Amino acid sequence: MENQQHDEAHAALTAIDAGRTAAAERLVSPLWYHPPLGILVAGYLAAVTSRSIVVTLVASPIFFAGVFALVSVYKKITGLWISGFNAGRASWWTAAMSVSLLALYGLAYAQIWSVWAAAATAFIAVNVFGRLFDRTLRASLRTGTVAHPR
Amino acid sequence: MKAALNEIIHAPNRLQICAFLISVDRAEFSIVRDMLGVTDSVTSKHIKILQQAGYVQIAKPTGQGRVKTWLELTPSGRLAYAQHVDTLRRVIADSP
Repeated sequence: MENQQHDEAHAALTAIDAGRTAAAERLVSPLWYHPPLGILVAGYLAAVTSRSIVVTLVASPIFFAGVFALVSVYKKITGLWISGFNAGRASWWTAAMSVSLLALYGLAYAQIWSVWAAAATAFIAVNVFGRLFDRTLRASLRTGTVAHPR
Repeated sequence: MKAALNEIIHAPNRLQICAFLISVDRAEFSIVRDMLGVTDSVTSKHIKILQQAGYVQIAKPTGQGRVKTWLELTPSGRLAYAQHVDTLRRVIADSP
């Protein structure tokens, strides 16, 4: 009886591994996802640190609509969604990206000459941290270290 | 002694659905079906059992073209799955 339950438990854990591996294989951001996101973030950073209310007012709806459209297309194509702040160990990359973007915002706001350099760095940060996030998440899923992110 | 397994989750297809859904926030029905490699009706049957137990929540957002069905584990589904996995691990650890 116990042996049977032991075998069943083994088979069940194998099924769990299969489900997790399938999720890891599906969670691959398309190559086109991060570059436009980086452009949106860089453009928004340049706009809000320009100290022009008009520029900020024009840029804000473009930024939010752009991010919304990008996320919608991502969901439509991949059929999956996982929040960057809700992904176990991979969420550290989201936190690192957020801190670096805040630092770049502070720099660009304090030193107006640095706006374009900060925007370019923001573009790179989104792309680099985004790919690191994807890689860490997939590795965590395969090893089972993202048990229940929420 | 026989450990108490959650029979709703323990069926292989439902276990795989839970293991898949716990890894993401939401997944579209067709992705779950393809992952299982079974038909729409078999997937629906298992999802319905999980939904009736309060473990899976179904959303059909409208206004975005063709209506797609999105699946999500509820907090009680996440808890039940975690407890089930713990039980499975205990069974294996306690085996002679």
